[in-house]
Amino acid sequence: MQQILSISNLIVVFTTRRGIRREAFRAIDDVSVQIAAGEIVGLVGESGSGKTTLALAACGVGKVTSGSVRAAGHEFSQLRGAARRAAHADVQMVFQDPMVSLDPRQRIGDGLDELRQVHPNRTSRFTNEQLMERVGLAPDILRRIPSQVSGGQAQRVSITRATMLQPKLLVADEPTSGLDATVQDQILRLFRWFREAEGLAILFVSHNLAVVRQLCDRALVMRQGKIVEQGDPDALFENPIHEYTRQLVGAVPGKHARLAISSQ
Amino acid sequence: MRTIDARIRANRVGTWNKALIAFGILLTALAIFAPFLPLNDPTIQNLDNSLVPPMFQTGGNYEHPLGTDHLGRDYLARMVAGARLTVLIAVSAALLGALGGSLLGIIAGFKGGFVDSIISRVTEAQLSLPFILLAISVIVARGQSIGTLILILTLVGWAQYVRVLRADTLALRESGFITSLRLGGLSDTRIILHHVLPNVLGTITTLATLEIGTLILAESALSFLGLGIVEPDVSWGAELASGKNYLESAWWLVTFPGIAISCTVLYINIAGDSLRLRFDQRKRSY
Amino acid sequence: MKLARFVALKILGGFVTLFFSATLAFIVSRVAGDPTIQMLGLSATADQIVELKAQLGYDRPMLTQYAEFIGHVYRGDLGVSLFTNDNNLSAILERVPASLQLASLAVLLGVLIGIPVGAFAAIREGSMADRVASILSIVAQSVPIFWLGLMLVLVFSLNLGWLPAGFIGDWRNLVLPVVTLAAIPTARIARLTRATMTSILEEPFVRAAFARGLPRRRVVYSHALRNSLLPVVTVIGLQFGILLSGAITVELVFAWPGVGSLATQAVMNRDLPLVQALVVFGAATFVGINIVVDIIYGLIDPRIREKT
Repeated sequence: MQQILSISNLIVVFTTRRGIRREAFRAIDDVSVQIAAGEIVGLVGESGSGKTTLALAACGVGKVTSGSVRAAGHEFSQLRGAARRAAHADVQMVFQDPMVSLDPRQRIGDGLDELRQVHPNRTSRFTNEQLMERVGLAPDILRRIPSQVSGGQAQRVSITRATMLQPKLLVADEPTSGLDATVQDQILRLFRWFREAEGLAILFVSHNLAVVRQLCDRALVMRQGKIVEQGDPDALFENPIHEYTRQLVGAVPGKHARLAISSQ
Repeated sequence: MRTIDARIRANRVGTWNKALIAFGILLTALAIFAPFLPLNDPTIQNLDNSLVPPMFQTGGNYEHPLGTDHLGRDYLARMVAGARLTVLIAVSAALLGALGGSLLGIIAGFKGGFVDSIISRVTEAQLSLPFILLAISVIVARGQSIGTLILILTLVGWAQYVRVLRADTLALRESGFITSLRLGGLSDTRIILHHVLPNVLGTITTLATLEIGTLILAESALSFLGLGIVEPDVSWGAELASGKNYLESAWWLVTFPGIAISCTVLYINIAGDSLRLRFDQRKRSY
Repeated sequence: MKLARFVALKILGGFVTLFFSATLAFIVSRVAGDPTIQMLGLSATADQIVELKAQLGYDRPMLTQYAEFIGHVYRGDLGVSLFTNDNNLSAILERVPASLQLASLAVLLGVLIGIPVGAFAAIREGSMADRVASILSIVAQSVPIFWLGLMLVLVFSLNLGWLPAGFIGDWRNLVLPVVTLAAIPTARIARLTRATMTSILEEPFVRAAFARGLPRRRVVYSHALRNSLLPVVTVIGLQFGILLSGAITVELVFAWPGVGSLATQAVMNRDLPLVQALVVFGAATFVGINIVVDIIYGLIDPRIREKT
């Protein structure tokens, strides 16, 4: 099976300056990840474990100190300028805070048009109205600005923006945190739908183990920049091998309860 | 001020704001159409008629409502004429400074790294130099002219924009907004022009408005010292410079230009404060 | 970090800032135009310009001139006036006491009046007194202070004859110029104190203190006011820079023989060495005051020492 995402021996080091001193912080320490087309892979870990840094690196916008990141056939570190910008259409990201990715002064519809304008070679076969329908939003959302929509609606807009140009890989960084349970449910259903309908591969970053268990084919556990354990989510959580995984699992209240996600 | 606060919070263009805007339009119209108004010519000298007091004092007459100066020139006309140059220069310098400073600030915040360091260092160096020292350095090299004056005033103001806009742009960068636009495949130029600039325009406008007031005061000070606008051009500061020699005999020569400056700058400060409350909740400037 | 290290760092930073400021001043006065033309006047012939340039050493490469300039500055040599041939530094230092009188008294007045007024306005927030104070401070920042000086002279000196308006005399000569100069720092300090105190008074720990039944006056003075003083200290440093600019015009109004009037004369005479000396001196004073302010701030608030 073709690997949509292939990360090998990735190392990411951030240097910060405190006064005159320089401190180096190893956010990602020799990580390798493979994701096949149409797979949904979960990435769990506590805050500061490096999940977001890995997510950004996978999209080709994060810092890479050494190692290789090959996403949707593109080696982003080798690309520049227009070629790089065009390549971004194949690997998209959905953020935790949907408002962050939306221009507060731009109407939703205008934002979608702008994306079409920037990628003239990749026309979506849907109109803006149809795109809204796909994610379950009313077409009048197109005329609104971000401050006039709810969190859940904004997240669905972000997902539309991320998927409208038919990417091969979607990276979702805590897309459901901060949303209430019913909305969460809808968003997760949407992700599943995109996988079924478009063969989209998804890297799903979350600290919510129950959600990962329901949605993902595979799960990776990350801690302090390293992957400490990986495998089938059910197996991982029922029989955690690594000390850290055990802690994570143990920390989940009602871990034996299952989130009811109705599959369509 | 509480009353303004309350009205702004109602977020409608209330009566107060309408009054401010109306006054502003009046002033601008006055400045632009001054030569066409039915006033005396401010440049005609008449030494027989010098130092005539304003009309409400004994010895004054209706022909010269605000009196005449030491060369017999109508003072009302000179006050109105003074408005033109002063406001024109202040607005030009404010716009230039805003343009240059904002652009540099946005670039510094956007690119980061080396470019940012250079821009920041130069800005801080200039901010640490008091205005007057900068002014005299330029004048001693270039002499006096309107161009030099605009240059000095632009140099005075540009640095604050760099600081503010760099901070704003950095905030946008750190929030992930710029990253998500880059992911969308937008080029840096497009991001800056279409997404960063429209969002910071409110801040820039507020700063520029308040800056006009500061620049009017600066120009008046320089003209008063004889280093800004000089004869035969008319400016309020220059009038104060010549008028101060007649402080004992002709009080009006010194009073009216000062009132004109104060009222104009006061208006700008009040209007700018209203703008700030509207656009700029988090920032405070003292 | 330890106080000694903090102080050392600040002084070092000061030298660096001074270096940058002096460099900027040098660049501006050489690059902005040609000072020799200014000195000779518009009717100067090309030969005269060349001759003056050679005489002053302005025909040498910029870098050489710059290196020499910086070298002199750090040795304390500020050159010699083009017109009077006196040593610049001594000419300036001669004038410092007069300016210092005005500036220090003005800042003192600003603090003595500004802080109580600001605190009062904060406590009585929303009252008529508060609004009047706000309006007054906006007005004070809109009025050109040299004009304020002229008006004060007109009223109190010429019309009422209460106070003199020159330099020669006794302490009464100080009143008008100091009051004039003090207008802006007073307004700024009052506004800042009011704003800081209002926000502190709204903080939970103040409400808690009131709830515990502590007498209102004590809470206000020991907690709120003390914490409000910190930002004011920083602002005072900034005020000196603005005061510097204001002082030049005020000295002209009152015929005060301070550094400001020396500067006006120097520019009028196109005396480049003296102007450069004044700029370096001014920048050094400004930097020095800011260092002192930073150190005081560091003494009062230990958190600042950690951040640096």
